[in-house]
Amino acid sequence: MRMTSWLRRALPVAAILCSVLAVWSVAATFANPWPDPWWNDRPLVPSPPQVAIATWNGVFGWPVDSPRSLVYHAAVTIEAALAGFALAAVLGTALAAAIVHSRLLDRGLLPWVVVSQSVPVLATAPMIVVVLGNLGLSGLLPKAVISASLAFFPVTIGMCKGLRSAQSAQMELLRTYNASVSQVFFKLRWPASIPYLFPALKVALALAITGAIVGELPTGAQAGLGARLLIASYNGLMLLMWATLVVASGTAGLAVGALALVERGFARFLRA
Amino acid sequence: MEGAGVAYPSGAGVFQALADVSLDVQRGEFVSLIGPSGCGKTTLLRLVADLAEPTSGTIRVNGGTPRQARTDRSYGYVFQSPALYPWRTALANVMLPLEIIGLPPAERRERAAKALEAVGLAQAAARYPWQLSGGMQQRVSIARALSLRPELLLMDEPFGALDEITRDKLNLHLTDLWRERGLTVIFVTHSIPEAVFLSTRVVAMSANPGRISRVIECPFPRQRTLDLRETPQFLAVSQQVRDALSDAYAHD
Repeated sequence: MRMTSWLRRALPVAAILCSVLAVWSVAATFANPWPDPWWNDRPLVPSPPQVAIATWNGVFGWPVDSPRSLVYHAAVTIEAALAGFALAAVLGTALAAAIVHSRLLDRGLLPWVVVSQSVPVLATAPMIVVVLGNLGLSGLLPKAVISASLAFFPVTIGMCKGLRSAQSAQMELLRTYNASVSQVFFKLRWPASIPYLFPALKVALALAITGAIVGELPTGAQAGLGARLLIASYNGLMLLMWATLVVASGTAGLAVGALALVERGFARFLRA
Repeated sequence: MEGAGVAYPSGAGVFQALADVSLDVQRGEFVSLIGPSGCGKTTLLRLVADLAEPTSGTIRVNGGTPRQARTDRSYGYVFQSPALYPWRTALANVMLPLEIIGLPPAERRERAAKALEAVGLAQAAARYPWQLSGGMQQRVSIARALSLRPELLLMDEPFGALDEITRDKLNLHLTDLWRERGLTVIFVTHSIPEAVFLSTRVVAMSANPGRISRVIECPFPRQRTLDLRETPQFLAVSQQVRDALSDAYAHD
């Protein structure tokens, strides 16, 4: 019984994976010069086994503190992403709290929050680096700020919804007790928003990693997955580029998985 | 209250939810408001609770304004839905108003436990709302309203969503609480037997505009059991209420 339900969950995932691999294999077969389209030195579309080997070498082929190790670069990126994520979680929630408490901010601020996301981060990232650099801030912080500028958005939108999710009778109940605004927030709005918080945080975390990688591109960073991607593309190293992308998505997957564990623990804590 | 009225602006001019309603409820009374949908019985209750404001007329609660009554926390309000907080246990839900008024934790716990005991749910204190039946949830919400020890209880169709057997049980429970604690209750309902069984007076209302069509006395002793409902006297009062209501529905 348990086995079949496990299979039932794994099967769709495996099916999608197989079809992606199939399409990829066909593309690798026809995009690269023959003979041996799968094992070209400079392939247009690297084949699945080539990427697998390049990823393996990048991850396990070097000591983790070597600048050739992808683990080293992933750690640099994750550090900035986590800082940006923390910033985004706090600021995004604070922004949502302000918006739900003020009709003026709801009308005046929310549209700007939405507009802020339509400006490409590739355009804003160099500006943030230059401005913060002039203030004497460099290194981790500019990357974290770029990462947070992407990641705060789902938190703000999700928490605006979450902080308003209490039923009207639950709200009016507090009114009959003449509860203060802060009591309404901490006794009702905040706990009612928790089911909205974690899905928003998961999206935010994935965006924070993307943001950190993009933040490394224009900053001339020496380390980080973004810096690695830039070097690979300057030198036409397709295999390195693909391997870096695989590591980047793996890192994001692991981070979101860890957050899901935190969520489960949190739910248990709330029940206790 | 005297000449209380509520008018809402609506698409076609002004919608008169309540027009010129006058009613005087004495301490220790149990008054039911009954009538067709849209007759303003819930609105009337919300005026007393200061959850809505009259556009005309005046309302006095305990000699003061409804706002004073609300800021003094001198009434308990029971909503149509239990409106429990799902992340709190039954006991923690009952403690909520006591937290709001800033009672020390030990006293909160003790008073909440007593209130739960009063509705017969002492054994369910540690359970979460989703672990309770609909009837139990509504009893928790009554305990929550009682935990502030109000003299006035405002109830908006609290048993409307429950099955008949559960409803009978809760009616019996409520009439005991009312008598033992000397509560004053204003109770909104759709059920004639429920209204007649619980009340000292039944206020029949009609719609368009919402107003009081008749007030019927229920001259039974305060000590009531479910057998009361089989007596000819009970059936006669019920018939009076039914007649008053059929007039009200005829106006539709």
